[in-house]
Amino acid sequence: MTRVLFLFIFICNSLFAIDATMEIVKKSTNLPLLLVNIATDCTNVKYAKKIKKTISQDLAVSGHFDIIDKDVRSFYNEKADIVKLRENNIDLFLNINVEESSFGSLILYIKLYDINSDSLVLNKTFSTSKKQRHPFLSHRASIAVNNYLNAPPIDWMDKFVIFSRYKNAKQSEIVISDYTLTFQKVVIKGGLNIFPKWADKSQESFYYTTYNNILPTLMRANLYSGKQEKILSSDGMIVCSDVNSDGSKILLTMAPNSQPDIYLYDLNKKVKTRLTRYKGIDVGGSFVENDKKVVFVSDRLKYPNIFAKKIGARGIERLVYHGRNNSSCTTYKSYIVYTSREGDNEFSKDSFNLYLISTKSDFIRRLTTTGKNQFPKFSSDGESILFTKTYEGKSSLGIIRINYNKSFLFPLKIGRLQSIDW
Amino acid sequence: MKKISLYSLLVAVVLLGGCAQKDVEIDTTKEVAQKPIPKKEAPKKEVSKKEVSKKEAPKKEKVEEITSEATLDKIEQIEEKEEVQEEETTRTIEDIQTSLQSIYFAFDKYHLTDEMREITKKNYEKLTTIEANTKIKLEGNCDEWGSDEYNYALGLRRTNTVKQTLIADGIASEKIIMVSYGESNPVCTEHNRACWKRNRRVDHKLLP
Repeated sequence: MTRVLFLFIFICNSLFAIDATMEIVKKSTNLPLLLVNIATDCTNVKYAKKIKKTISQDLAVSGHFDIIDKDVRSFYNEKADIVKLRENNIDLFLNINVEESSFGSLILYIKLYDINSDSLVLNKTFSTSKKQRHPFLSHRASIAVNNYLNAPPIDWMDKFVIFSRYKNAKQSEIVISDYTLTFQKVVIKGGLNIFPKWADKSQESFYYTTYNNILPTLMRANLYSGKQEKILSSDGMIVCSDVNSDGSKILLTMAPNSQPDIYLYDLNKKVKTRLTRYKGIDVGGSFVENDKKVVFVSDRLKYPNIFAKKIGARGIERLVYHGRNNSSCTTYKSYIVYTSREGDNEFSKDSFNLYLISTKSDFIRRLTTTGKNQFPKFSSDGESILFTKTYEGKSSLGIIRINYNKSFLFPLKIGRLQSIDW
Repeated sequence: MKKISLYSLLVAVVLLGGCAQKDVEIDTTKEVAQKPIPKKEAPKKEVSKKEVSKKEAPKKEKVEEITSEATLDKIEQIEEKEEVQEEETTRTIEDIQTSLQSIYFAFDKYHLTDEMREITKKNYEKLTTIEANTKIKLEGNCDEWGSDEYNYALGLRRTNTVKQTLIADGIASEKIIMVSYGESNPVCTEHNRACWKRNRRVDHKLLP
């Protein structure tokens, strides 16, 4: 009876997986065709071209639109040529105009026409005080267009990504950027500074590890005040791997007794609690199930794999039964994305790939196929995964849109990515 | 009349005497004034003073010169000695550090091979000669195959292996501090087997 029940559940899961794939195919055939156009009378074509490129990219990444790359003659304050656009099977027409003020600020005007209903459906203006922040103007415009369709939100596009990049031996810097890496600003430089992690949802502060003292030290930096605060130091290593929902507790990998273990640190009480005690490697803890459970990487099976533990309880639960070297992971509800090294030695090609599994089924899906793919991080809505990719010696930031079967890469022009967070 | 003459004589004497004094003074002034006025008085006075002092106390001046020279010589000698000592101390630490060999590890491993165990023994012998307050910093490093926390922990495990071996040999644990640099501190940046092998290592740094 048990076997029959197990078989039934397995078949159901398989059917679910097939259905999901079929749904994606169905969606891809029904996407609205959208044209982003620079208005004929646009006063700042240089920045308009950049903004058009980013908006087109954003809407393609969203998975909710098909983008057509074409220019049409259309003045900003005149109604779009609906007949001509309809002849080209265009569903949505986004006309943009960009102005630059004498103070160096940039203003973006957008008008969205629904060709099928023959109407102007969106008329908005966005501005920024500094020209180099134009990617965020584009992202905000893309979010507005996406929201008009009532499509699943893509608000994460307007958030900062924080990353550390290696420059030389023992030299790295921490950078904040938009998700396409077009806008970049160095916020920590000098010496070795790694593993940046946002301290709060508002992205005002972040944690990072600095090696500029005798011992590795965890710091918290505030982007707005510039204030830096020392949190803890540890012999060997210290990394903040996750922050709980209200930002009052953090998970640390540290080794005060020469032993890399996972610690829970209460920032208000300034008390740390050791969560793992295995005499090997326990690293990379992340909160799950309302901060009551921790998923982490351990080599207790003589190779790194993904485990879970309830905070305050003794038992350890193995989560992944695939792969022989799974060294990092990210979680969203019952889903886990983990890095798995495919080969047993250093000569293997395509050595690190990302896999998606569900703890509630045997569902497993390979998300990448080439290069070293590491540092997977789920978006807050669980729809996207940010990761780092190294291929032929070059670093890129990757985004996988899980429900849309799409992935996008944004190359890093300077240095090599060490770690990321968003 | 005689009285008048006597008084006149006395007045004359007084007057003449006063005139004589005035004349001396005036004369002295006159003599100085008559001499060509030197363009720079001060040096002339100094010269004359020196001449006078040399004449008056030549021995004292000589003794003073000798004493000050000797003091300075002594101070300089002490300084030179201290500098030499500092250089010697620095050189000793540098010499020991240069003589310490890195410990290398296999791919994804953190245990010592027999060959590396022999090297840790040699390192231990050299480390016994360092001063009591010198700290030994063990730096764990990995190859480029990985950039996540696990790679840093692997570097730390390698460091801890070397630390435990040194402690077992007799180095006090409080003398050792450990830092894992993961893959952030390569000595070789080419993408080949030989290079990766050189990067999977534990280095020793001495902190005076």
